Amino acid sequence: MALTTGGHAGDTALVERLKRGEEEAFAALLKRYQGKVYRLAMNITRNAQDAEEAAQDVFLAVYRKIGDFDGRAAFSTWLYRIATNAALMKLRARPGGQHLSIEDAGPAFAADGHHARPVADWSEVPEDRLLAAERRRVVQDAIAALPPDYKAAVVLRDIEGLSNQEVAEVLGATVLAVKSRLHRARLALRERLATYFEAGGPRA
Amino acid sequence: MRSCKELVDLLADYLEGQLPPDVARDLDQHLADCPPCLNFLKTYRTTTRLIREVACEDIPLELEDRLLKFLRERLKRAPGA
Repeated sequence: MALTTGGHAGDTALVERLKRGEEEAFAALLKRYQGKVYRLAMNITRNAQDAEEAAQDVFLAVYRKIGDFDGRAAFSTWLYRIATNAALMKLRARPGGQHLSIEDAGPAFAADGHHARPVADWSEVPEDRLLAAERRRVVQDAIAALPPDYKAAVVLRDIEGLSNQEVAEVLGATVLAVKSRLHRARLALRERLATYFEAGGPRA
Repeated sequence: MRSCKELVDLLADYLEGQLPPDVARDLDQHLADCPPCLNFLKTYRTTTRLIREVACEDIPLELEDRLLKFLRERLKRAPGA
């Protein structure tokens, strides 16, 4: 579900109650947001243990730092910022992270601006359930190969459905920078998927 | 006439309807005349669909329980630490 500006109705009241030290308000915020936080962390780290530890860190931070939340941004945006940072920390702490060079990962063009290579239409990818597992792995591996900042932008925008403005607030970047990062990430992913699907797509 | 490279550079804004009308019209025209770019646009859209398709959906129930238990214990021991 996409977050709209202002977040979940009722967040403000819960946040005020939590600031006064009401445990029930914390429990209510936990219940409301634990799924989102876990999913975000899981989609960034692709590791169940990292995602669980990130979720623990996030809600400890919410409890302890709620006094720092000034209400200028929506609570959900503040929470997404903490969660994204926690997930990225887990990701960066993991050894052996080899990421593709995003500069070279997009499509190639000739000097006159035409596509340098033929562009096939693989948009109608097969829905065969037996082959879906391999396809999932290919897409997941392609996302995993993105540099962390690009991955975070893709997860927040394309999976969580935040607006460019909201992603910018969460990542502490300009809207322009977010749009550029997203587009480059999608172009890199499209190239990887094109290589796979143009080579014959899923094989049993 | 816009080039294929320009179309690709502007594709995200084009799909979100955020381009000035004259630029969007140029790209409409380019797409009508350029099958490779039309294929590129379709597969770019499919890419974002596939990203959503492989996303992890739900928090496991047992994890909800573990998270609540973890937080209760930690916050009881050292609420502000």
